[in-house]
Amino acid sequence: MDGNEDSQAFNRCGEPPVDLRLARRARHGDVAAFHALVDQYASYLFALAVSLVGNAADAEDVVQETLAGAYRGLGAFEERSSVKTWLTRILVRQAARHLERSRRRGSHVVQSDGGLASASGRASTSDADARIDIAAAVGSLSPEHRDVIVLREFQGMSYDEIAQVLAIPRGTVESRLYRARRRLQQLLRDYLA
Amino acid sequence: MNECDHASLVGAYHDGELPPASAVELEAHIQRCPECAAELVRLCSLSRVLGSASWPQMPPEALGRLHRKVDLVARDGIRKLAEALAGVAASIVVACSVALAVLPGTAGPAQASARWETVAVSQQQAEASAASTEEQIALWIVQELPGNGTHE
Repeated sequence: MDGNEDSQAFNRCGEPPVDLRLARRARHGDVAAFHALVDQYASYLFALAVSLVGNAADAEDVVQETLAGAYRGLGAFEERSSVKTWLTRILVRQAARHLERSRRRGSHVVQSDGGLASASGRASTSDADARIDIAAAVGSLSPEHRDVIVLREFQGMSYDEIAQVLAIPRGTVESRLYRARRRLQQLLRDYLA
Repeated sequence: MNECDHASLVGAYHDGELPPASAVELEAHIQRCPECAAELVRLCSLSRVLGSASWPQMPPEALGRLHRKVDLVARDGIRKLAEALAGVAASIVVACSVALAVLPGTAGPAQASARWETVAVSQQQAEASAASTEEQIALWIVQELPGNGTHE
């Protein structure tokens, strides 16, 4: 989705991916390298954040907190996962914290269209209704179910990647997806006919 | 609701997550099982509906704010490091000052004390030896007195 799939693999000369090289340089104090990482992943993280928290304003806060936390935690990044997976994991946790704080304050706002854009770029009534219903359906899932649905259906992550991001066993990913999809099929049955 | 024993595998098959041999086996099963076939159709339809909504791009002004946030965090990190180093340096200075105050190089009280004692003891020894000399002289005088028969 972010067009960065090629950056995940070592090249034929055995050199690490671009984002990993940037992360290593940033870890040694190269702030410009971290800015380059921001440019590479900002859109991806923003889209993921919107899908998790339901509005663009909160999504921006979550992405800021994610990247600030990632910068401070560079020393703890052990390269056991890809940079993308590492950032995704941080963001999912930040989004969960953000939602929890908002709920406690009673201030959580879900944008009327859940922050979704029209795939066609034109806002027809039926498109708008679909986006609202999709956003409402996803937003009504439990946090555990919403996370796996978003990472699988909207970000196209594999089960192993989702397991790494959420720090849960692969089998748990499968079972949560199974139940989340059951729930969504009920909520969105009018669109599945 | 799919009650088939293979129902839980249909999702993994749909997602391309089954090992090749298991995928082939499930494909053959789906051909024979209307419930699993219907489950697969529902999953494909759900993915299509969810995939019909794209997600917004981050606005440029938001990206600018993000970069400024990173700069703030980086500067904050450097400031904290400088404060920590200053604290360490101050601790070293204090430790050195304390060490200089107690180390020898000036005649320490302990050494002065030892020297005083030595002098005192040697003086006592001198006095003691002087006393014995006087005694000796006294003895000689006594011994040399007439009637002691030791002197002519």
